[in-house]
Amino acid sequence: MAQDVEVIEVSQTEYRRAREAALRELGLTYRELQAQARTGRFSSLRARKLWLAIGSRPRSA
Amino acid sequence: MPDLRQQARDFAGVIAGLLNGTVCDGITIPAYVYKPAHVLIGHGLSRDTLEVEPFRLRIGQGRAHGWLEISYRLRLDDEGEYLTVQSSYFGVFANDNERSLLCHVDYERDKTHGYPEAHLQVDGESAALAAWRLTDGTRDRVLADLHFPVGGRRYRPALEDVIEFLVVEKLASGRPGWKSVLDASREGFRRRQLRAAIRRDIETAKQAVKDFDT
Repeated sequence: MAQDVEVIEVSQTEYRRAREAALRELGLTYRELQAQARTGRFSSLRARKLWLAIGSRPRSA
Repeated sequence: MPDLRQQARDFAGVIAGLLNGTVCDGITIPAYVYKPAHVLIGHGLSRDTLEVEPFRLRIGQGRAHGWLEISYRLRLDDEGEYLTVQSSYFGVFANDNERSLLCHVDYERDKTHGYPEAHLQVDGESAALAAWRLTDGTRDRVLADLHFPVGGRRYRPALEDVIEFLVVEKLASGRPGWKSVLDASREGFRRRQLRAAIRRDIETAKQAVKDFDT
């Protein structure tokens, strides 16, 4: 039962900008978020969700 | 070259169809595509935000029973042909405040530092954990810190399993016919996982088939 879907296509520059904005809102750098992921303990649920969304840096981004 | 945009659209369409055919009504699930090979899927994504939002578990205009939040991060597989899930997150909430979290099921492929790739974390208190003598001497661990393993990469819970949990435990109402929508969708997920497991261990698969033939 597939449904109509909005597809948002962004450039790598737009993606990086969105990623940096999300980190800024959290008040964390990528390295700090990465360090939290290593311990399995995040400072907030938002941090955990952001890690799952941006995770280890994609090879191409 | 695979059509990444179409694959992303198909994946998000299946997720939206599953949700709206079982425990939701009119939920939109956009696909966020950043080339050459990556996709995010989740309610609330926009050009400017990578953060997903929770949505109501309700049919029609009634009061919501609870809230669900989902996200998937996908990338093209090593052959550059098909999307594969790099990470996923399913969070279950009483309302739209993150403090009302009940539990979440996470999957993170190639997760490091020993935690299971697929795991369940439950918010709450545990008298047993509070009394536990931990090996690192710390005393500040809470239930939500524990990563309960749930099946690993190939046999992890699907979104369908979380939806079934919600309905069976009376945490959400299922639409009429929800179970058949869910079963059909889950069958597809399990077949894909089985194919992936076979692809990664052809010899064991061949031996198993041979055992059935004899």
